[in-house]
Amino acid sequence: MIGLARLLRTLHDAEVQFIVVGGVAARAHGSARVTQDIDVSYSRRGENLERIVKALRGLKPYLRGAPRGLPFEWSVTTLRAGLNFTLTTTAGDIDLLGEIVGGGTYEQLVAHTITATIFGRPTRILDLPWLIRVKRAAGRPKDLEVIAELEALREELEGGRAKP
Amino acid sequence: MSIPALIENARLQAGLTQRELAARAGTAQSVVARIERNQANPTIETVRRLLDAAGFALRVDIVPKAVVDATVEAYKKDVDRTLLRGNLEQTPDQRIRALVSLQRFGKEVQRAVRQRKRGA
Repeated sequence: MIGLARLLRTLHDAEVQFIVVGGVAARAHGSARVTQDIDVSYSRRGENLERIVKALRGLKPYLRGAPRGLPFEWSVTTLRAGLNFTLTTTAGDIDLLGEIVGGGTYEQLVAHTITATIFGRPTRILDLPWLIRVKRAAGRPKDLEVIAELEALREELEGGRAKP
Repeated sequence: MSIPALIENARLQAGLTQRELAARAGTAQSVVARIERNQANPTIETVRRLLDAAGFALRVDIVPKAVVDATVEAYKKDVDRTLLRGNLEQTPDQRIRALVSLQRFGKEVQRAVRQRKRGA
């Protein structure tokens, strides 16, 4: 199974509370861009941290870009000690975001999501206006082209063509 | 969607005339007509009552304001909207599956380039 499908299935199987944000969310809304990793906002409630740790353990998560051999313990304690994690796994790269600039926490973002069936599973995805909002808030020059595309998408949707 | 469009849309979806909607909501036909013509400023309670009479609930939401940014507007001119329109014809699931196919293709290309370098 290709990485993205496997990562999503793994999170769903463990009943992790998460929202797909970033490039994959943009793609779900109709973006033509190709992204290599998946960004998810996750709830930092204790039970959810346990689910994430259990879910990803089998995929050998490791800090992306860190030197090999650097001690990294995949545990609830580690998740509690940090907030946002850029990870590489045997199923692909995943960013776990405890908080997003301009959007906040999972609990704050959840009201601004759509639910779409992806690989047969209902999946929460950040809605298009909030995706644009957080991209703007990030303030990164590289996101300006992405924002332009997302805004063009919003215009197309408001123009009446669209499947949600 | 504007309030007049919202009320008219709900009424038409319910298959009601202005008079029928007004009767159900306990108001006059002229009130509905004025709202739909954008000649009145109904309270949120009036809007809620009319929508309720048409079989709909009012959901209030907040959305970020559209921001005009000269750089983004400049980039927007170069966006290939034919690609976007093609994607919008698909379901979100189909869009993600297409992404997976492109990722797979990208990996194949990388592998081929690496092989060629090793062979060179």
